[in-house]
Amino acid sequence: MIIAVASGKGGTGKTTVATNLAYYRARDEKVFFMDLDVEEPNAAVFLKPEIEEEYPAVKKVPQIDEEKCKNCGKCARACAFNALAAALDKILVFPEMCHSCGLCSKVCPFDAIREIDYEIGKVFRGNSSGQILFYEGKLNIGETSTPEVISAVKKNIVPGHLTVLDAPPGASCSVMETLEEVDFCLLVAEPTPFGLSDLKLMVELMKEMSIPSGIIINQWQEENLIIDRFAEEKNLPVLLRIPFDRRIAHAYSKGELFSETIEDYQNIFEPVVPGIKELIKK
Amino acid sequence: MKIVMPVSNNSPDALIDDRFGRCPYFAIHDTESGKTTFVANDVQESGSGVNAASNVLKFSPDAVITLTIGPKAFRVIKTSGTKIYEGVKGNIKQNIELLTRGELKEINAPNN
Repeated sequence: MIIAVASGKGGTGKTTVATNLAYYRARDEKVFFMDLDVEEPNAAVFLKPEIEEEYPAVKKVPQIDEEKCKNCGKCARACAFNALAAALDKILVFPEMCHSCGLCSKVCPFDAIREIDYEIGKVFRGNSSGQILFYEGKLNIGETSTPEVISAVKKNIVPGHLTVLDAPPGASCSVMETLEEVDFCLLVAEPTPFGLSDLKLMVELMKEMSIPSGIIINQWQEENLIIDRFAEEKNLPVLLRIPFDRRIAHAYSKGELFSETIEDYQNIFEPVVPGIKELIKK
Repeated sequence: MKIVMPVSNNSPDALIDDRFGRCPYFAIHDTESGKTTFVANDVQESGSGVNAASNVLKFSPDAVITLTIGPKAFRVIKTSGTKIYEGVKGNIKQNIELLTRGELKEINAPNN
């Protein structure tokens, strides 16, 4: 089963939920954990994996054969992303702008363009306490091809294992890439107007992509039920309420898994996976 | 000498624009005839700087005056050896005068 942990808003507790959930489940089974927040991966801070391998994440970009190129500019005009520019006497390539569509090589009348691999980021593989197979994607500085790095990490998914995907924030391309082919999405929301507004966007996205989902309310307080009310109104399942507790923030600030270091919370993630299974059955 | 600069509109008293790739118009001034013509900038969703820079090169300018220029547009313009000068906030005329008096600094690296 592949579970994505997402949220519209940043800083709502995606990584907290994803890492603690993986840690809890790893008591009983091997868990694949993938940090797909590739612009700012930080799950490693909490899971402290031993990294065993790293390899480049690549995309295809054009390379101009200057001997064959007659500088006709057809490729630059065809490129929808301005990744190629016809300067006075040569074609310039801006690989960071390229979406790897391959159109330039198709329109070139002189067969002067071939596609080559270009590194946009790195994939790290390791393990945490033997039971968690850890993967992390990291986008190189200056690059923008976030979905391609996410997709490179996701190639490591092995069907049949519980897999927890820590998604990037937002509701755009990179989140959609993360959500491709997941079985369930946990939506982490904090009870603030901002949190609610972005949760609504995610609920829309779930509908659009036909992904079953449930809400985890983080920093939950009895006197602030803004998310609870929305969930009730829309008939959305709330799978867990993580209380507003200074000790959790404290554990986080030290890079600790709060369900490991705070005794009261050792089993807080117990209902999550059974709850998901129940919802998927429906 | 032909001078190109990004400007806020297509009138002779237009101000130099804050942006290079996403300015509304380019002014092309010919110092010999004293004439200024305007071309609308074909602003793109992605890669406006690259696109604007390759369009600017088509005017074969001797100099470009701009307040800011990013790394990609800079690279495109520089393939032609065209000099890029840092303009001052103000209108076309003021910038042309400063350039011809040699009072504008050359931009040797992208500044935006």
